[in-house]
Amino acid sequence: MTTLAAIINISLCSLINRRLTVFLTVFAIALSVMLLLGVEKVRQDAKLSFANTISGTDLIVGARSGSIQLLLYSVFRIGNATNNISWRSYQAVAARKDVKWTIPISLGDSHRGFRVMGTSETYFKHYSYGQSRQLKFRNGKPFEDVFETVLGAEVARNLGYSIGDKIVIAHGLGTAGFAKHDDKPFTVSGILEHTGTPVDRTVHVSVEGITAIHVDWKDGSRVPGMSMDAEAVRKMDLTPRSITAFMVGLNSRLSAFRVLREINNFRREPLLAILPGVALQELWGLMGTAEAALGAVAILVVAGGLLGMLTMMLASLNERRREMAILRAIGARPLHIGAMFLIEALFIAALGCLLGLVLLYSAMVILQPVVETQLGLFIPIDMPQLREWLILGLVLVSGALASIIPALLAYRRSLADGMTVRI
Amino acid sequence: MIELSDVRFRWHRDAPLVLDIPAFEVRAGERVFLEGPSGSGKTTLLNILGGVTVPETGHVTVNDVRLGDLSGAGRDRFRADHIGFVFQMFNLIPYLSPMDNVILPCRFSQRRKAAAQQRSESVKNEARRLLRHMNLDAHKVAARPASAFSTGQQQRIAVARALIGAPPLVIADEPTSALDHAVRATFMDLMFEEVTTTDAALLFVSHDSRLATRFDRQVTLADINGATA
Ligand SMILES: Nc1ncnc2c1ncn2[C@@H]1O[C@H](COP(=O)(O)OP(=O)(O)O)[C@@H](O)[C@H]1O
Ligand SMILES: [Mg+2]
Repeated sequence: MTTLAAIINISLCSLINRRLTVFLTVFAIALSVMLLLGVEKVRQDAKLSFANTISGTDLIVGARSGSIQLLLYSVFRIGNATNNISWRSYQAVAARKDVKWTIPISLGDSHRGFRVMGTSETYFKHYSYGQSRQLKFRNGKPFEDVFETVLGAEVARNLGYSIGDKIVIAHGLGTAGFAKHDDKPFTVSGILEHTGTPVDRTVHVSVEGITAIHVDWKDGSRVPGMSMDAEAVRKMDLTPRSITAFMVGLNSRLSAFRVLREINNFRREPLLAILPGVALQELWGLMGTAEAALGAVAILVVAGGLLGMLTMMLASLNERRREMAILRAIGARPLHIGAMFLIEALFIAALGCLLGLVLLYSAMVILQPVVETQLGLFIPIDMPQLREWLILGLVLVSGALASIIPALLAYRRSLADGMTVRI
Repeated sequence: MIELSDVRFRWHRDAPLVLDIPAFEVRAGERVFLEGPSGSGKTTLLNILGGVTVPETGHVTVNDVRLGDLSGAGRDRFRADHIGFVFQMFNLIPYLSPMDNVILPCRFSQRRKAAAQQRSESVKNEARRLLRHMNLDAHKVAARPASAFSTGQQQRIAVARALIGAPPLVIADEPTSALDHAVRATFMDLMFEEVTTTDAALLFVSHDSRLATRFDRQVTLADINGATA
């Protein structure tokens, strides 16, 4: 027992004596551990974040394209719709007896880099995210007028808007769109609470508002000589002719498959209805390969870090032969000498894991706001989960396994050298 | 203290015998000077006495224990408990302080730890006492690493370590070869003084026969060793 304590003590002193190389080795392992845990965390949290973006919506309907594409542009504001669907088709589905509510979605415009979504007041009533959480207003109320807008929390925070401010919507999705609907500004009527979903990054207006800013436009550009002011437009019939997609809530979940089938066989227009959960699963399937590749890279980087440690230990083996001989003369067994290397490896790997955790959490604290504003992904900072501890445990075990090589060499060498090193 | 009978040793099966010693004895407390030219097998003999090397035939008895009856681990424990070694050089773990170097044997041997505590109440006190007797400043000795000390100082630190916990046998393998003349005499004085107070048997190996005068007995390896490799 005291012998083991002595061996551990000597190992630590020896590590301190070689602190520069040891620190670099620890740092390399820490970086690799940070990468591995980071990849794992982003993977899980991205999934969670995606899965939390929509709840309570039974179906999403859009023009016929890929189901993942429809999910991405309608819910996550990623990518674009290739086609619109007609307002009449939307009305036809909305009028079905088994349909409880619908939320129209009209996309294509933007405001200073944030996407504008045309919708209706049903959005604020029925859209839910996370564990059935409703949208809440931090300030103000839903839009009532054609030229009113409700901002997501991030939009308002980022651009410093408050109730009553006037904003101009640009045509298209570019950040610096020249074609601005600047003759028809919108007044901020409400600002939503933070949700941690793409809603935060969305500028909401009514579908009538979208129609209104496009009355004097055709095929994506202003019709020359035709200009109408806001007051004149307000008096027109602003019922849209088409929208991008719509969400559907059913009276009964059980009818979902039947309604889905019927919408997909809609005769007047080719429509695509998807179940959000199923489309998400498809998305994970699609990302599976990339995930696996990323995971493999992270594992290889950890292996690299541990190889670095192995190299360091093997290199130190020769210069430590005298040290080993002295310990033998004092009564250390060759087994003790081997154990020294195992202890060192465990210590280095443990320090690497610890430093890796510190680096990971520091990086998360720094990057969390950036990731949220830039990517709309909310990465919660919480304690490492069982899975993370398992990964760390595995790194430790791998470190110990790697050290078997130098430990064995040291054992055999000290057995041969005895108390004197012949050089 | 030491008894060898019919000890034969060679490095490998086809190699010539390095040692062939029909009989050799060192009594308890006896101070023996063992001389012989370089390469004659002195260090090999010491390794056999320490139980690190196992002879091909014969019996080695140290402190009434037959080393051949012990397992490898048993011999290591026996060495930790009963023998203090001083080598020609590189005796110390360079990054540990002299203090920690001297204490080291007490970490591997309960017996020596107990003996040190009995003598000076604590292992540290005993180490400090020995270092002081070896003319080493108690303040400097705890603060700096062993590598910061001169060769002469390091050899004296090594003696303090060999003596801590009063092992009944001290083996010194050419401890003065790396020292220059002026330092050599002081080293011998201090070492002798200290070994005398502990009543340990001393087996001192050197090829410099001028040092032999103060010993109880002088043995030439060739006289006890039949092998002339
Ligand atoms: N580990 C070893 N392997 C093979 N031969 C060795 C080894 N150690 C010493 N020898 C040989 O054994 C003989 C005795 O060496 P040694 O005991 O070190 O002599 P001394 O200490 O008297 O100078 C020498 O011929 C030496 O070359
Ligand atoms: Mg020798």
